[in-house]
Amino acid sequence: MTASNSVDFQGEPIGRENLLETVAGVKHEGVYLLGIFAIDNGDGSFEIKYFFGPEKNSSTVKALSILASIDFPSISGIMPAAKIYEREIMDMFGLFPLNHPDLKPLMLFPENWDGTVHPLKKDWDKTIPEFKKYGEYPYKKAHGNGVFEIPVGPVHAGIIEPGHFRFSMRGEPVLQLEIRHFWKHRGIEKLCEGKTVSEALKIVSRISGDNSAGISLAYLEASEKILGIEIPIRAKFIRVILAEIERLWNHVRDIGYIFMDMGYTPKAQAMFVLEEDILRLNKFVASHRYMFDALQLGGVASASDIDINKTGAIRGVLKSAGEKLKKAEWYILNSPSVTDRIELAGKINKKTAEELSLCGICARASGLRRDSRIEMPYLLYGETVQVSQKTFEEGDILARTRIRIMEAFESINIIQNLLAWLPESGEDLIPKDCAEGVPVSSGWAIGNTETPRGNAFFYIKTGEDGNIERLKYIDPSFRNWPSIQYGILGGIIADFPLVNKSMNLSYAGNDL
Amino acid sequence: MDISLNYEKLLLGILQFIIIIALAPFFAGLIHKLKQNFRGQKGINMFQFYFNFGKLLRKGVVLSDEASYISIISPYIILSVYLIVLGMMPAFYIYSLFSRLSDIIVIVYTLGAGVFFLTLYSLDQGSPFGGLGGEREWFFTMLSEPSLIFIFITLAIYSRKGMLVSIFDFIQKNALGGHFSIAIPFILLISLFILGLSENARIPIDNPETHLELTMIHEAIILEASGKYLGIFEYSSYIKLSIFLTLMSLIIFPYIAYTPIDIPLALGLYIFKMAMFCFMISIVESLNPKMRLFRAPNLLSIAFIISLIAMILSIRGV
Repeated sequence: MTASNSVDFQGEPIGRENLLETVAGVKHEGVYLLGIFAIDNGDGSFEIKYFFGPEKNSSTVKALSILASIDFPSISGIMPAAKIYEREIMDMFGLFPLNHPDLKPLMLFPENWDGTVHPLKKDWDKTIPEFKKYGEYPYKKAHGNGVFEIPVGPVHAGIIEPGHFRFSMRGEPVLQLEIRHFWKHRGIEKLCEGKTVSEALKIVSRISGDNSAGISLAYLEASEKILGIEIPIRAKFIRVILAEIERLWNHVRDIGYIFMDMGYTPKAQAMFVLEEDILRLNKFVASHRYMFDALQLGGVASASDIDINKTGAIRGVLKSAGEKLKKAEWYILNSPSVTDRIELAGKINKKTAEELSLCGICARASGLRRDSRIEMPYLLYGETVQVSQKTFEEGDILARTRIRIMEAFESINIIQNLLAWLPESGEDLIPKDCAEGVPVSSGWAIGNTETPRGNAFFYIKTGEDGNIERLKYIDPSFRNWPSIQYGILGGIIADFPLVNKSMNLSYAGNDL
Repeated sequence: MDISLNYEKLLLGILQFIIIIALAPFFAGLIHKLKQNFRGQKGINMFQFYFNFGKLLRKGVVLSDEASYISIISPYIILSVYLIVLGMMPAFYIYSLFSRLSDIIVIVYTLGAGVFFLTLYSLDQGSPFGGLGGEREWFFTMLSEPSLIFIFITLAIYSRKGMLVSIFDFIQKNALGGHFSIAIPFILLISLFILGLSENARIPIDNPETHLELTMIHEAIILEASGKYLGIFEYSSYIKLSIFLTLMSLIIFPYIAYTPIDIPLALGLYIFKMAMFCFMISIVESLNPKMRLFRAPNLLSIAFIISLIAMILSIRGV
């Protein structure tokens, strides 16, 4: 088991009166918020856990916890990123965040859900409240001469996922944007409670289809730590190769969408053809286009073993991907009409990115050096695979697109190197004790991985019978969505689709 | 040119009117097909837009609760406005159906009436995107209308005629015979091409294929339209495209029939010229991304300056 991803944790919850002081101290050390969530202890008390990203030159995650029964102090005054997590706790557990600046329901809508029913509490009897209107969601209003509102979604003109965007505008410039998501809540966290660790793997790998490998890896990091499973070296190689192929196809598709949304369809089509090639490669290598069930507890599925034929196929696709991405990069950097469209638009300032604890591409484009592969290394990262940090200070669409291209090239390199160094076939893909039956163990652990969108965070707590008691997943999209409200400020509404696509956040990962 | 009316002229005028209306969806479909082929896609059937129109006519209409009678009459008014303007064009036969109406000022302001009802329709539905689209439509029409007026005035000064039919009659008889400079029509062509892209919601001003509500202009206006009204709007946009393409095809190389015997050759040339312009538009659309909204006025200013230069040159020619 790797020593990485370890947690610096005071076993006992701290007193709630010390929370704000402690958080302020933690913030002073320069760490960022990974997530906040609550756990129902079953005896009327709740444990609220705070996880903070690692300090510089250390891969240790800092954790705090407090006990609460009715309310808890909000830390959003110190860390604005905490706002959505605290609203989520309010919805799901009925705990009231004190001194919170924006007390609106986040996931459960008063338009169809009784606000007194909190589904993640252990005593909820799973009866769904009657489908009727219980209240009204209070939107932020902008007033003034010539100010008007444009509500967009959740049903869009194209076939995309549901999200509501409410623009307050004066002419074309946007004065304010309020987003409201969570229209298709699936209750995955509740669903996983009581399931065995391998049953839950099937569920979490389908949280957000295009990041399946990245999210499953975070889950496996956590659960394998609890179960004490040692992963065979060959399986580690294959896991990293699959994760990097997934990163490559995500970036290729997102670059294609940037071209698509600026109306440059021939270039977009070139990227989409490449995307389809990679998806077919996925089907060949991992026996599923989105790599579902390719990763197993303890290793990888035998169907996704990489033999000589697969190595050849991967190398072939990587070669054509490199060529096509070179062309795309040329157009983005050298074609004035393309560069003009994306330069300076959708700017997210470094300070905003810091306060909202962004991760992934959005953070790196705004000058924050955040990459879980470097900060909290897992599998082969930090050892065999050295990832170089790529950041831009501009924070605009161009910066995000350039980082995507650079990372796609890097993924190609990583995969090529790993294919060359891949240990002899014939080694185990799953440890022997794991192949016969999954071991049972109780405890808790966290897992962090870098999905194509950013840091994926898992917290898993298993009970005495080895089944899951509490599972919490925090998607990079959940962290990054609020930042789009700042990215569009100062811009015009016609640029919004490009800003949105440059971040390309997931609705499904956001809304569990 | 003898503008007196007889049965032969009337019948051939009606025939020309029907043919160019019937061809309009074909040219729009051709651009779409060529663009798809440039992207490496197999592409639609070239007659797909006829099937789409037929399908929409069979479908029911859903109207917003906010909609007034404006929403019911606007599609018909817009269609008839563009039909009238297209009917003025001597596309391949000189005595077009509305040739006696084809005063240059009438053309510009009849097109203006179309924009007026289109934007009125966009507001009438109470949809936020309609207002957004209508506002942008006015913005670009305001910028492109002066150039359009200048283009027609230049043609009028150049040929010293006020009727569209007489202007092209003059160009065909004199300019192509070498008696006058043909530089001015060619300069106008550049300006008219830019206006054609802008007025017909093409890249780089607008994207006709987009599904992104927030960047739409023309599509946002008709986002609420459904069934036969949507079909009528779509057909009107094909006809508007045909109007601009026909004008360009007449300016670049007018070959207009005066007698029934010449019609087959003139018709063939007309289709060929139109197809060439479709080809040009599809190339421009494939090579350019859509501009930023507030960069588009620069392009339209270029169109305006070009038409202004052409007008100054034509005055000197007098």
